[in-house]
Amino acid sequence: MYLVASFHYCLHTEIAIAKVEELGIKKEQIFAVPLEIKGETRNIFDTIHHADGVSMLDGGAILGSACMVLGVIYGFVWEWGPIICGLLGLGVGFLVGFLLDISFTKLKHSKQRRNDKDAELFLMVHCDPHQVEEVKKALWDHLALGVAVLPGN
Amino acid sequence: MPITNPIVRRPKMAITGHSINIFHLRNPLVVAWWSLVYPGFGHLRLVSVGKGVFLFGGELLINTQAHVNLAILYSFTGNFAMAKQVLDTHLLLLYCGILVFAVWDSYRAAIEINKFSVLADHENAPMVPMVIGSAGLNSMEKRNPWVAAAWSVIVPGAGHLYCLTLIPAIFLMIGGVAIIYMAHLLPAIGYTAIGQLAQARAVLDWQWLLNVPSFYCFSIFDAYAKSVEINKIFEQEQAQFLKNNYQSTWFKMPI
Repeated sequence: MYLVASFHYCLHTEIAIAKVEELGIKKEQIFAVPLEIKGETRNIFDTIHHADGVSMLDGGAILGSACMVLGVIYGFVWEWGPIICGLLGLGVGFLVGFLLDISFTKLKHSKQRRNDKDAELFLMVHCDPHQVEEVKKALWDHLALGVAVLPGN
Repeated sequence: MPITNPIVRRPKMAITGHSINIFHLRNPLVVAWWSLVYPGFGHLRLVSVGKGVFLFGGELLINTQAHVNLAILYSFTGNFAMAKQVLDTHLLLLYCGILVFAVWDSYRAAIEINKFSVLADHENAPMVPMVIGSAGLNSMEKRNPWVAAAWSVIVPGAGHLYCLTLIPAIFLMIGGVAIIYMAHLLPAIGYTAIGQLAQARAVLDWQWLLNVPSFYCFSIFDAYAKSVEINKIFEQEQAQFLKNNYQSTWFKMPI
């Protein structure tokens, strides 16, 4: 029998494999298929971060820090003082930068973004029919996203 | 079987008991922006910690001696006579040099590091996912970048402690606390909170206060970005491990 399970990249995945091996399954009976992560690019001059989440903060941090400095400076003369003006600057700048970034990212790369629920790797386990239930339990217990049983010898 | 070369020529990462350093693709323009905000931050973004702290120290010294921040403050509020008066010319011109050097060098280094990152991905040398030393433990695991950012909002540098980088964390924490102290920020926050705005304005040290926004924003941004980068290296290392250990030719395929 075969079991196929999908996982995220995380420590639990390694623990799942270890638990399956402890059930008497040999290393040669486990086959892992780590998926390449979509949007990962080797192009140096691409704007690189659009696919990996860092760009979520680029625009916000840049505009936020700039507006915060301006807020602190003009707090010197404005009535509310530097701290409130600085914080307002940070908030407004961050929000504007963040929204701009998201709208650009959505327009340009909407299909490259990874969904949290997407499988990142697959495990295939070849085992005897009487082992299926316990292997299946070990996989589910360690955060498998989905498990399927295939007939076969 | 490929011939295994024992010498790693283009490593992707280095890890010790206290810090982790990785090659990752980064946008050179964003790196240059951080150097413009404060010389040294661009290099810290590239995990060139020594260079970054050195440049930051130099810039802080010159800025404090020459009262550059005060001059910026007066200029932006239209008080040009005061701006000229407050500047100390003993070190002022050096400021320009250090600023432009930091921007240029971090931009250049970012492009160079991107090339190293591509070459390291190509070589795909084995990576070390954890190190335990006699005084510390560093082990990669998925970390939530928003948690790192949130901790840095509360204490500058705390987000870096969360994501495995002790040395930048020490710099950001000590530096952040020192700047906040010198600027008399916390008493001013107290006065602002109870509505005594005139008192808040009077208690602040403006020369030091203008360091706060950039320092604070950088520590938040960098903690977030580092967590994302380390998470990606974790995935890369785990995929490598699985490919090397669980793709046996003896595996009996179902079809």
